[in-house]
Amino acid sequence: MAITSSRIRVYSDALLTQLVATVNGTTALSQTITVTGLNPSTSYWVVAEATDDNNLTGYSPSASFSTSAANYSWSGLGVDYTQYYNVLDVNISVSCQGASFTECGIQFSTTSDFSGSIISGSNTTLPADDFTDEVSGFAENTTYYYRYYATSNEYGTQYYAPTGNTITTRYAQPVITLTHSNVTDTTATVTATYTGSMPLDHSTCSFTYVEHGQSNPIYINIENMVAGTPYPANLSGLTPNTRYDIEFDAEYYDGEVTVMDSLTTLQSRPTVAISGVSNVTPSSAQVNISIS
Amino acid sequence: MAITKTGVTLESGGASVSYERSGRQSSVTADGLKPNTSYTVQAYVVEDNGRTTYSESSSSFTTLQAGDILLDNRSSWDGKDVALLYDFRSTYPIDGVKVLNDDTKDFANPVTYTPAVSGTYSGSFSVTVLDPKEYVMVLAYDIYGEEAKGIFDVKDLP
Repeated sequence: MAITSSRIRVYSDALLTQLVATVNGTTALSQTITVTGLNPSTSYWVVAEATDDNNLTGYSPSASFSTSAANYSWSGLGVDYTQYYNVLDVNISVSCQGASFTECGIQFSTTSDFSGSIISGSNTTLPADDFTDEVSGFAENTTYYYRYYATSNEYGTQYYAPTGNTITTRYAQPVITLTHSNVTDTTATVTATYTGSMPLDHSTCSFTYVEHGQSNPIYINIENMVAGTPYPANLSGLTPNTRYDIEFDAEYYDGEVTVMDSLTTLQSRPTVAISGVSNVTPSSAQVNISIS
Repeated sequence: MAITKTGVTLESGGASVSYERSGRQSSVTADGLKPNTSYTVQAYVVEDNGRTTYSESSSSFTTLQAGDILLDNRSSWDGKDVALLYDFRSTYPIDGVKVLNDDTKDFANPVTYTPAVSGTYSGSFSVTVLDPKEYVMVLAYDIYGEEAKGIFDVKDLP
Protein backbone atom coordinates (compact mmCIF):
# COMPACT_ATOMS: atom_id res chain seq x y z
CA MET A 1 0.00 0.00 0.00
CA ALA A 2 1.28 3.40 -0.92
CA ILE A 3 -0.17 6.83 -0.44
CA THR A 4 -0.91 8.38 -3.78
CA SER A 5 -2.49 11.72 -2.64
CA SER A 6 -3.50 13.65 0.42
CA ARG A 7 -5.47 16.80 1.19
CA ILE A 8 -7.18 18.69 3.91
CA ARG A 9 -10.66 20.11 3.77
CA VAL A 10 -11.57 23.12 5.86
CA TYR A 11 -15.17 23.75 6.95
CA SER A 12 -16.83 26.63 8.66
CA ASP A 13 -19.19 24.50 10.70
CA ALA A 14 -18.84 21.56 13.05
CA LEU A 15 -21.19 19.42 10.95
CA LEU A 16 -18.74 19.72 8.07
CA THR A 17 -21.37 20.93 5.64
CA GLN A 18 -19.85 24.28 4.67
CA LEU A 19 -16.64 23.64 2.81
CA VAL A 20 -14.33 26.62 2.85
CA ALA A 21 -11.18 25.29 1.26
CA THR A 22 -9.46 22.18 0.00
CA VAL A 23 -5.68 22.09 0.02
CA ASN A 24 -3.78 19.18 -1.52
CA GLY A 25 -0.82 17.67 0.24
CA THR A 26 1.96 15.32 -0.75
CA THR A 27 2.41 11.57 -0.56
CA ALA A 28 4.54 11.80 2.57
CA LEU A 29 3.28 9.95 5.55
CA SER A 30 3.91 12.97 7.73
CA GLN A 31 3.53 16.45 6.34
CA THR A 32 2.36 19.98 7.04
CA ILE A 33 -0.26 21.62 4.87
CA THR A 34 -0.92 25.34 5.00
CA VAL A 35 -4.30 26.80 4.29
CA THR A 36 -4.64 30.50 3.45
CA GLY A 37 -7.41 32.92 2.79
CA LEU A 38 -9.14 32.32 6.09
CA ASN A 39 -10.87 35.07 8.00
CA PRO A 40 -9.32 36.40 11.17
CA SER A 41 -10.91 35.59 14.52
CA THR A 42 -12.98 32.80 12.96
CA SER A 43 -13.55 29.15 13.99
CA TYR A 44 -12.92 26.40 11.42
CA TRP A 45 -13.07 22.60 11.31
CA VAL A 46 -10.55 20.62 9.34
CA VAL A 47 -10.46 17.02 8.12
CA ALA A 48 -7.34 15.33 6.66
CA GLU A 49 -7.70 12.81 3.87
CA ALA A 50 -5.31 10.32 2.25
CA THR A 51 -5.83 8.05 -0.77
CA ASP A 52 -3.73 4.89 -1.45
CA ASP A 53 -2.86 3.04 -4.59
CA ASN A 54 -5.98 0.90 -4.18
CA ASN A 55 -7.91 4.12 -4.46
CA LEU A 56 -9.07 3.80 -0.94
CA THR A 57 -9.41 7.06 1.03
CA GLY A 58 -9.10 7.44 4.74
CA TYR A 59 -10.47 10.32 6.77
CA SER A 60 -9.26 11.78 10.04
CA PRO A 61 -11.59 12.88 12.78
CA SER A 62 -12.37 16.58 12.45
CA ALA A 63 -10.35 19.06 14.44
CA SER A 64 -11.25 22.64 15.08
CA PHE A 65 -9.15 25.77 15.28
CA SER A 66 -9.70 29.54 15.34
CA THR A 67 -7.75 32.06 13.38
CA SER A 68 -6.21 34.89 15.28
CA ALA A 69 -7.05 38.53 14.77
CA ALA A 70 -5.30 40.27 11.89
CA ASN A 71 -3.07 43.22 12.87
CA TYR A 72 -2.28 46.01 10.45
CA SER A 73 1.31 47.04 10.22
CA TRP A 74 1.88 50.78 10.24
CA SER A 75 4.94 52.54 8.84
CA GLY A 76 6.14 55.90 7.64
CA LEU A 77 3.88 57.65 10.06
CA GLY A 78 4.25 61.35 10.54
CA VAL A 79 2.37 64.46 11.54
CA ASP A 80 4.25 67.70 10.99
CA TYR A 81 3.76 71.43 10.85
CA THR A 82 3.43 73.48 7.72
CA GLN A 83 3.87 77.19 7.29
CA TYR A 84 0.20 77.59 8.12
CA TYR A 85 -1.06 77.25 11.62
CA ASN A 86 -4.22 75.49 10.46
CA VAL A 87 -2.61 72.95 8.13
CA LEU A 88 -0.62 69.83 9.07
CA ASP A 89 1.38 67.47 6.91
CA VAL A 90 0.44 63.82 7.35
CA ASN A 91 2.11 60.60 6.15
CA ILE A 92 0.67 57.10 6.58
CA SER A 93 1.51 53.71 5.18
CA VAL A 94 -0.32 50.57 6.20
CA SER A 95 0.02 46.93 5.28
CA CYS A 96 -1.45 43.60 6.23
CA GLN A 97 -1.06 40.36 4.45
CA GLY A 98 -4.24 39.39 2.77
CA ALA A 99 -5.90 42.72 3.29
CA SER A 100 -7.32 44.83 0.47
CA PHE A 101 -7.39 48.35 1.84
CA THR A 102 -10.24 50.57 0.84
CA GLU A 103 -9.35 53.58 2.97
CA CYS A 104 -6.60 54.82 5.22
CA GLY A 105 -6.27 58.13 6.97
CA ILE A 106 -5.92 60.05 10.17
CA GLN A 107 -8.29 61.61 12.65
CA PHE A 108 -7.70 64.59 14.92
CA SER A 109 -9.76 65.51 17.94
CA THR A 110 -9.38 67.78 20.93
CA THR A 111 -10.57 64.95 23.15
CA SER A 112 -8.52 61.85 23.80
CA ASP A 113 -11.47 59.55 23.17
CA PHE A 114 -12.31 61.30 19.91
CA SER A 115 -15.82 61.89 21.11
CA GLY A 116 -15.98 65.47 19.90
CA SER A 117 -15.77 66.85 16.42
CA ILE A 118 -13.12 65.21 14.31
CA ILE A 119 -10.86 66.65 11.66
CA SER A 120 -9.77 63.97 9.27
CA GLY A 121 -7.88 63.29 6.11
CA SER A 122 -7.91 60.06 4.15
CA ASN A 123 -7.14 58.25 0.95
CA THR A 124 -9.87 56.15 -0.62
CA THR A 125 -8.21 55.54 -3.94
CA LEU A 126 -7.53 51.83 -4.31
CA PRO A 127 -5.25 50.38 -3.19
CA ALA A 128 -5.74 52.77 -0.28
CA ASP A 129 -2.73 51.70 1.69
CA ASP A 130 -0.99 55.03 2.05
CA PHE A 131 -1.85 58.65 2.56
CA THR A 132 0.44 61.64 2.13
CA ASP A 133 -1.27 64.98 2.14
CA GLU A 134 -2.12 68.10 4.07
CA VAL A 135 -4.97 68.15 6.51
CA SER A 136 -6.51 71.53 7.30
CA GLY A 137 -9.12 73.09 9.50
CA PHE A 138 -7.26 73.37 12.77
CA ALA A 139 -7.56 76.10 15.33
CA GLU A 140 -4.46 77.99 16.36
CA ASN A 141 -2.52 77.07 19.47
CA THR A 142 -4.74 74.06 20.17
CA THR A 143 -3.72 70.57 21.23
CA TYR A 144 -5.13 67.73 19.13
CA TYR A 145 -5.04 64.00 19.72
CA TYR A 146 -4.58 62.00 16.57
CA ARG A 147 -4.92 58.39 15.48
CA TYR A 148 -4.33 56.58 12.25
CA TYR A 149 -6.87 54.25 10.79
CA ALA A 150 -7.24 51.88 7.88
CA THR A 151 -10.09 49.86 6.49
CA SER A 152 -9.83 46.65 4.47
CA ASN A 153 -12.49 44.42 3.07
CA GLU A 154 -11.08 41.54 5.00
CA TYR A 155 -10.39 42.93 8.43
CA GLY A 156 -12.53 46.00 8.72
CA THR A 157 -11.30 49.23 10.32
CA GLN A 158 -8.40 49.25 12.70
CA TYR A 159 -7.02 52.28 14.55
CA TYR A 160 -3.53 53.00 15.67
CA ALA A 161 -2.73 55.72 18.18
CA PRO A 162 1.00 55.98 18.79
CA THR A 163 2.37 56.92 22.18
CA GLY A 164 2.24 60.67 22.79
CA ASN A 165 -0.22 61.12 19.98
CA THR A 166 -0.78 64.82 20.40
CA ILE A 167 0.26 67.88 18.48
CA THR A 168 -0.28 71.51 19.39
CA THR A 169 -0.90 73.76 16.43
CA ARG A 170 0.96 76.98 16.05
CA TYR A 171 -0.44 80.46 16.48
CA ALA A 172 -1.79 82.17 13.44
CA GLN A 173 0.76 84.45 11.88
CA PRO A 174 0.33 87.94 13.29
CA VAL A 175 -1.30 90.47 11.01
CA ILE A 176 0.13 93.94 11.09
CA THR A 177 -1.35 96.86 9.22
CA LEU A 178 0.76 99.87 8.41
CA THR A 179 -0.78 103.21 7.55
CA HIS A 180 0.40 106.78 7.26
CA SER A 181 -1.28 110.08 8.02
CA ASN A 182 -0.65 113.74 8.72
CA VAL A 183 1.80 113.99 5.86
CA THR A 184 3.31 117.44 5.50
CA ASP A 185 6.32 118.66 3.57
CA THR A 186 8.71 117.56 6.31
CA THR A 187 6.77 115.32 8.69
CA ALA A 188 4.45 112.35 8.67
CA THR A 189 2.91 109.89 11.08
CA VAL A 190 3.07 106.16 10.43
CA THR A 191 1.00 103.77 12.49
CA ALA A 192 1.34 100.02 12.96
CA THR A 193 -1.46 97.95 14.41
CA TYR A 194 -1.02 94.29 15.27
CA THR A 195 -3.88 91.82 15.42
CA GLY A 196 -3.67 88.20 16.45
CA SER A 197 -2.70 86.20 19.48
CA MET A 198 0.80 85.29 18.41
CA PRO A 199 3.18 86.58 21.07
CA LEU A 200 5.61 89.01 19.50
CA ASP A 201 9.21 89.38 20.38
CA HIS A 202 8.84 92.85 21.79
CA SER A 203 12.46 93.70 21.37
CA THR A 204 12.35 93.37 17.61
CA CYS A 205 9.37 95.50 16.55
CA SER A 206 10.53 98.51 14.59
CA PHE A 207 9.70 101.00 11.89
CA THR A 208 12.23 101.90 9.28
CA TYR A 209 12.00 104.64 6.73
CA VAL A 210 14.24 105.75 3.96
CA GLU A 211 14.05 107.82 0.82
CA HIS A 212 12.96 105.64 -2.06
CA GLY A 213 15.96 104.15 -3.76
CA GLN A 214 18.34 105.09 -0.98
CA SER A 215 20.00 102.96 1.68
CA ASN A 216 20.68 103.42 5.38
CA PRO A 217 17.15 103.59 6.73
CA ILE A 218 16.31 105.21 10.02
CA TYR A 219 14.97 102.90 12.73
CA ILE A 220 12.28 103.62 15.27
CA ASN A 221 11.82 100.85 17.81
CA ILE A 222 8.44 100.02 19.32
CA GLU A 223 8.47 98.38 22.70
CA ASN A 224 5.88 96.16 24.35
CA MET A 225 3.59 96.05 21.35
CA VAL A 226 0.27 94.46 22.19
CA ALA A 227 -2.56 93.44 19.94
CA GLY A 228 -5.24 95.90 19.02
CA THR A 229 -3.37 99.04 19.98
CA PRO A 230 -2.22 101.39 17.22
CA TYR A 231 1.42 102.37 17.57
CA PRO A 232 2.17 105.65 15.85
CA ALA A 233 5.62 106.99 15.08
CA ASN A 234 6.29 110.53 14.03
CA LEU A 235 8.71 110.99 11.18
CA SER A 236 10.39 114.37 10.98
CA GLY A 237 13.11 116.04 9.02
CA LEU A 238 11.75 114.69 5.77
CA THR A 239 12.54 116.24 2.44
CA PRO A 240 9.62 117.96 0.72
CA ASN A 241 8.09 116.34 -2.34
CA THR A 242 9.97 113.09 -1.79
CA ARG A 243 8.83 109.48 -1.72
CA TYR A 244 9.72 107.48 1.36
CA ASP A 245 9.58 103.73 1.79
CA ILE A 246 8.22 102.67 5.15
CA GLU A 247 8.59 99.23 6.67
CA PHE A 248 7.50 97.63 9.89
CA ASP A 249 9.16 94.44 11.07
CA ALA A 250 8.20 92.18 13.92
CA GLU A 251 9.54 88.83 14.95
CA TYR A 252 7.78 86.08 16.79
CA TYR A 253 9.02 82.80 18.09
CA ASP A 254 9.07 80.97 14.82
CA GLY A 255 8.81 83.60 12.17
CA GLU A 256 8.96 87.18 11.08
CA VAL A 257 6.40 89.50 9.57
CA THR A 258 7.19 92.52 7.45
CA VAL A 259 4.73 95.05 6.10
CA MET A 260 5.55 97.93 3.81
CA ASP A 261 4.08 101.25 2.89
CA SER A 262 5.21 104.35 1.09
CA LEU A 263 4.36 108.00 1.24
CA THR A 264 5.32 111.14 -0.59
CA THR A 265 5.86 114.32 1.34
CA LEU A 266 4.09 117.44 0.23
CA GLN A 267 5.80 120.21 -1.62
CA SER A 268 7.32 122.98 0.46
CA ARG A 269 4.86 125.29 2.06
CA PRO A 270 4.53 128.80 0.71
CA THR A 271 5.73 131.61 2.93
CA VAL A 272 2.96 133.97 3.93
CA ALA A 273 3.54 137.32 5.61
CA ILE A 274 1.53 140.46 6.30
CA SER A 275 3.31 143.35 4.67
CA GLY A 276 1.03 145.95 6.19
CA VAL A 277 -2.46 147.12 6.94
CA SER A 278 -3.72 150.13 4.99
CA ASN A 279 -6.89 152.03 4.22
CA VAL A 280 -8.15 151.62 7.74
CA THR A 281 -11.60 153.16 8.21
CA PRO A 282 -14.10 152.90 11.05
CA SER A 283 -15.50 149.77 9.45
CA SER A 284 -12.86 148.26 7.18
CA ALA A 285 -9.17 147.69 6.61
CA GLN A 286 -7.02 146.41 3.78
CA VAL A 287 -4.54 143.72 4.79
CA ASN A 288 -1.59 143.53 2.45
CA ILE A 289 -0.08 140.08 2.02
CA SER A 290 3.25 138.86 0.75
CA ILE A 291 3.37 135.32 -0.64
CA SER A 292 6.53 133.58 -1.78
CA MET B 1 1.78 124.15 -5.96
CA ALA B 2 -1.14 126.38 -6.79
CA ILE B 3 -2.74 128.75 -4.35
CA THR B 4 -6.48 128.57 -4.55
CA LYS B 5 -7.40 131.02 -1.77
CA THR B 6 -5.86 133.94 0.04
CA GLY B 7 -7.39 135.03 3.30
CA VAL B 8 -7.02 136.85 6.56
CA THR B 9 -8.38 136.07 9.96
CA LEU B 10 -9.21 138.96 12.28
CA GLU B 11 -9.56 138.46 16.00
CA SER B 12 -10.93 140.87 18.52
CA GLY B 13 -12.21 140.23 22.00
CA GLY B 14 -12.09 136.49 21.55
CA ALA B 15 -14.17 136.52 18.39
CA SER B 16 -12.65 135.88 15.03
CA VAL B 17 -13.82 136.27 11.48
CA SER B 18 -12.15 135.37 8.21
CA TYR B 19 -12.16 137.11 4.85
CA GLU B 20 -11.15 135.13 1.81
CA ARG B 21 -10.54 135.73 -1.87
CA SER B 22 -9.96 133.14 -4.51
CA GLY B 23 -6.52 132.72 -6.02
CA ARG B 24 -3.25 134.30 -5.10
CA GLN B 25 -3.87 137.86 -3.89
CA SER B 26 -1.67 140.65 -2.61
CA SER B 27 -4.34 142.06 -0.34
CA VAL B 28 -7.62 141.20 1.30
CA THR B 29 -10.09 143.80 2.51
CA ALA B 30 -11.93 143.20 5.73
CA ASP B 31 -15.15 145.12 6.11
CA GLY B 32 -18.03 145.22 8.50
CA LEU B 33 -15.60 146.01 11.31
CA LYS B 34 -16.45 147.84 14.51
CA PRO B 35 -15.24 151.45 14.87
CA ASN B 36 -12.43 152.23 17.26
CA THR B 37 -11.67 148.54 17.80
CA SER B 38 -8.33 146.75 17.91
CA TYR B 39 -7.90 143.71 15.69
CA THR B 40 -5.16 141.13 15.41
CA VAL B 41 -4.83 139.81 11.89
CA GLN B 42 -3.12 136.73 10.47
CA ALA B 43 -2.90 135.90 6.78
CA TYR B 44 -3.13 132.48 5.18
CA VAL B 45 -3.20 130.76 1.85
CA VAL B 46 -4.85 127.52 0.79
CA GLU B 47 -3.18 125.33 -1.82
CA ASP B 48 -4.89 123.11 -4.34
CA ASN B 49 -3.96 120.09 -2.21
CA GLY B 50 -6.05 121.55 0.62
CA ARG B 51 -3.10 122.52 2.75
CA THR B 52 -3.44 125.79 4.63
CA THR B 53 -0.39 127.82 5.55
CA TYR B 54 -0.60 130.74 7.97
CA SER B 55 1.71 133.67 8.30
CA GLU B 56 4.20 133.07 11.07
CA SER B 57 3.52 136.43 12.67
CA SER B 58 0.39 138.48 13.07
CA SER B 59 -0.27 142.20 12.83
CA SER B 60 -2.55 144.51 14.74
CA PHE B 61 -4.49 147.58 13.83
CA THR B 62 -7.27 149.69 15.26
CA THR B 63 -10.20 150.89 13.22
CA LEU B 64 -10.92 154.59 13.22
CA GLN B 65 -13.49 155.98 15.56
CA ALA B 66 -16.99 156.37 14.18
CA GLY B 67 -17.53 159.53 12.20
CA ASP B 68 -20.27 162.05 12.77
CA ILE B 69 -21.92 164.50 10.35
CA LEU B 70 -23.97 167.38 11.64
CA LEU B 71 -26.37 169.17 9.27
CA ASP B 72 -27.90 172.60 9.84
CA ASN B 73 -30.84 173.43 7.60
CA ARG B 74 -30.90 177.08 6.59
CA SER B 75 -33.19 176.72 3.58
CA SER B 76 -36.04 179.04 2.65
CA TRP B 77 -39.12 178.94 0.42
CA ASP B 78 -40.53 181.90 -1.41
CA GLY B 79 -43.78 180.19 -2.21
CA LYS B 80 -42.50 179.04 -5.56
CA ASP B 81 -38.92 177.74 -5.36
CA VAL B 82 -36.87 176.40 -2.49
CA ALA B 83 -33.47 177.93 -1.86
CA LEU B 84 -31.89 174.91 -0.21
CA LEU B 85 -28.90 175.79 1.97
CA TYR B 86 -27.19 173.54 4.48
CA ASP B 87 -24.21 174.02 6.73
CA PHE B 88 -22.32 170.89 7.84
CA ARG B 89 -19.62 169.75 10.23
CA SER B 90 -18.06 166.29 9.85
CA THR B 91 -15.51 164.18 11.68
CA TYR B 92 -14.12 163.02 8.36
CA PRO B 93 -14.06 164.81 5.00
CA ILE B 94 -17.37 165.06 3.24
CA ASP B 95 -17.43 163.00 0.09
CA GLY B 96 -20.69 164.15 -1.40
CA VAL B 97 -24.34 165.13 -0.89
CA LYS B 98 -27.62 164.34 -2.58
CA VAL B 99 -30.95 166.14 -2.44
CA LEU B 100 -34.13 164.22 -3.21
CA ASN B 101 -37.51 165.87 -3.84
CA ASP B 102 -40.73 163.93 -3.98
CA ASP B 103 -44.46 164.10 -3.30
CA THR B 104 -44.31 161.37 -0.69
CA LYS B 105 -42.11 160.65 2.27
CA ASP B 106 -41.00 157.35 0.89
CA PHE B 107 -39.19 159.15 -1.94
CA ALA B 108 -40.14 156.44 -4.38
CA ASN B 109 -39.83 158.64 -7.48
CA PRO B 110 -37.71 161.55 -6.50
CA VAL B 111 -36.13 164.34 -8.47
CA THR B 112 -32.45 164.16 -7.51
CA TYR B 113 -29.98 167.03 -7.17
CA THR B 114 -26.24 166.76 -6.46
CA PRO B 115 -25.16 170.16 -5.21
CA ALA B 116 -21.51 171.10 -5.07
CA VAL B 117 -20.00 171.06 -1.60
CA SER B 118 -17.97 173.91 -0.22
CA GLY B 119 -15.57 172.83 2.52
CA THR B 120 -14.15 169.53 3.73
CA TYR B 121 -14.69 169.02 7.46
CA SER B 122 -17.12 171.89 7.60
CA GLY B 123 -18.78 174.04 5.04
CA SER B 124 -22.01 174.29 3.15
CA PHE B 125 -23.87 173.27 0.07
CA SER B 126 -26.81 174.80 -1.73
CA VAL B 127 -29.13 174.19 -4.62
CA THR B 128 -32.33 175.77 -5.93
CA VAL B 129 -35.22 173.34 -6.13
CA LEU B 130 -37.52 174.72 -8.77
CA ASP B 131 -41.23 174.22 -8.36
CA PRO B 132 -40.61 171.79 -5.54
CA LYS B 133 -42.66 168.84 -4.51
CA GLU B 134 -43.67 168.74 -0.87
CA TYR B 135 -40.89 166.70 0.70
CA VAL B 136 -37.12 167.12 0.55
CA MET B 137 -34.46 164.67 1.75
CA VAL B 138 -30.84 165.69 2.18
CA LEU B 139 -28.13 163.02 2.33
CA ALA B 140 -24.50 163.75 3.15
CA TYR B 141 -21.67 161.19 3.08
CA ASP B 142 -18.18 161.25 4.44
CA ILE B 143 -15.26 159.51 2.78
CA TYR B 144 -15.87 156.37 4.86
CA GLY B 145 -19.46 156.09 3.78
CA GLU B 146 -20.95 157.45 6.95
CA GLU B 147 -24.29 159.02 6.12
CA ALA B 148 -26.32 161.87 7.61
CA LYS B 149 -29.89 162.44 6.57
CA GLY B 150 -32.36 165.32 6.92
CA ILE B 151 -36.01 165.43 5.76
CA PHE B 152 -38.31 168.42 5.77
CA ASP B 153 -41.67 169.57 4.43
CA VAL B 154 -41.34 172.49 2.04
CA LYS B 155 -44.36 174.09 3.65
CA ASP B 156 -42.55 174.23 6.94
CA LEU B 157 -39.75 176.39 5.56
CA PRO B 158 -39.70 180.04 6.38
